[in-house]
Amino acid sequence: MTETTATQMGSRGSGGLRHAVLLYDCDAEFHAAIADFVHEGLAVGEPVLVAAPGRRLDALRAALNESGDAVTFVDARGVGANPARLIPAYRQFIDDHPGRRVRLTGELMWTGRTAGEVAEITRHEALLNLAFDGVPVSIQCLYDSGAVDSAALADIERAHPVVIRAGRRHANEHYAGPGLSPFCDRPLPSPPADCIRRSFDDVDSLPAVRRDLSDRASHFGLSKGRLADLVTAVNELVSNALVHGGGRGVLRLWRDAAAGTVTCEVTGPGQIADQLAGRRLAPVSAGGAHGLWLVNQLCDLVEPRSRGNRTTVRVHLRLDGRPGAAALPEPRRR
Amino acid sequence: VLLAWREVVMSVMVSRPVGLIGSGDHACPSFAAHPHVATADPRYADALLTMTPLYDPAGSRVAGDIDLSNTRAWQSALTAIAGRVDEVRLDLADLGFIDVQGVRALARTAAGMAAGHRLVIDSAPPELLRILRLSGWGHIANLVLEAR
Repeated sequence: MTETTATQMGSRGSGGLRHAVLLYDCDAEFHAAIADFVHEGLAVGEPVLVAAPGRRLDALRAALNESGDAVTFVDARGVGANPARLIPAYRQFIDDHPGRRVRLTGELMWTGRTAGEVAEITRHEALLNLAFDGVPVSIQCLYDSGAVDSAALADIERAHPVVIRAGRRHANEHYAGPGLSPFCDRPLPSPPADCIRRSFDDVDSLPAVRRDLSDRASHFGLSKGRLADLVTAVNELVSNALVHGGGRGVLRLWRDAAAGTVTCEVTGPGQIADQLAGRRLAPVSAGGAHGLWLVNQLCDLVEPRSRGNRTTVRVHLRLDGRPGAAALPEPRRR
Repeated sequence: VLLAWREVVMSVMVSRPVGLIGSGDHACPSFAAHPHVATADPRYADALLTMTPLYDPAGSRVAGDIDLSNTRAWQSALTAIAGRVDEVRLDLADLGFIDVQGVRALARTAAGMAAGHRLVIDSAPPELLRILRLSGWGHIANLVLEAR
């Protein structure tokens, strides 16, 4: 495919989403790619959001400091720690600039990302194509081709309609289309056999579920604030199972010492029909639809899986995490 | 009859609309001039949640848990109180747990109040403040937070 055709395909006509993955080989290429993408946007008056982890972000901010207020810098370790928070955060940035095409770029990976987190990054990338279909936003996602596991990177590529490699942009013939596909919705590893298991079957069991969860999880070393986050999040999952799942389900709880997390999952009948559930903040007037969104804000990783007529949502809270999630900076009032 | 009395006392039945003592402000011209004449009587009790009335300013002391079992009653109670007076105070010092729908009910109630009216939340637990911060609902103009 020629370069021109690829660009046209990536832009989906003129007004909609442009979503490309850029695979880089070295730091210099990383910095140059971000700088080019930012400067292209600034030249045509497009607001830009740059997300990258910690020190990487500091370096980008220093390199791009002449751009002033036109570029918003976000620490990916905060808002992007749980990749499911990114779509709502991007949505907020888009909404803060009505009537304008915006640009989003950066990197979501860092050393120590778990396989589960990488899988949820892949899911996030695939859902971007659904969430922002027809929305005037240009997204360029950078991945280190040498540092990311090659099978995981192949999955990530499939979530992007356009691939940029060694400076060449081409349409991705392996692009899977918007929304979930099996490659970004793989089954979760089984819970440990010795996990704590508790079933629930009635709305009146909620207080006891909260009490038991709090008692058990307090022995795992979560801080008071994080324990409250866990109880709030799991209460929402159990409530969802009661409302949508026919009124019964099972909760499992364990500590993953290797990952440094407390993990809890709620399984019940029913399916999550809306692939973007939990990835948009419904208005205050909308009934329902806030539970999974809050779960995503409070937890460090959330893995929703619907299989047949059964749904499991597994949540992880890091033992060293802070209560509540990091959000985007307050929008500037215009 | 000065006041068009609707229902009398809040029902403990979740499914029934909550009762009011007093009237809607449109029904009573003197109401706005004398906000303390008519006072909401937000009595409510179920297995998890108790609401007892506060006077001057009008409001409610809320004790216990708000979850799926009583969200509708909670929303009805808030709507009833907020319809009565121009400043409502909720004392949440004894609130044990509140889910996202419970917090949304607070935000929705505040958002539905007339300009200049206030829903003052006293002693909100940190978990509630966290949900208000994350959702942005804490920015609703009529919602006033006073720290625990």
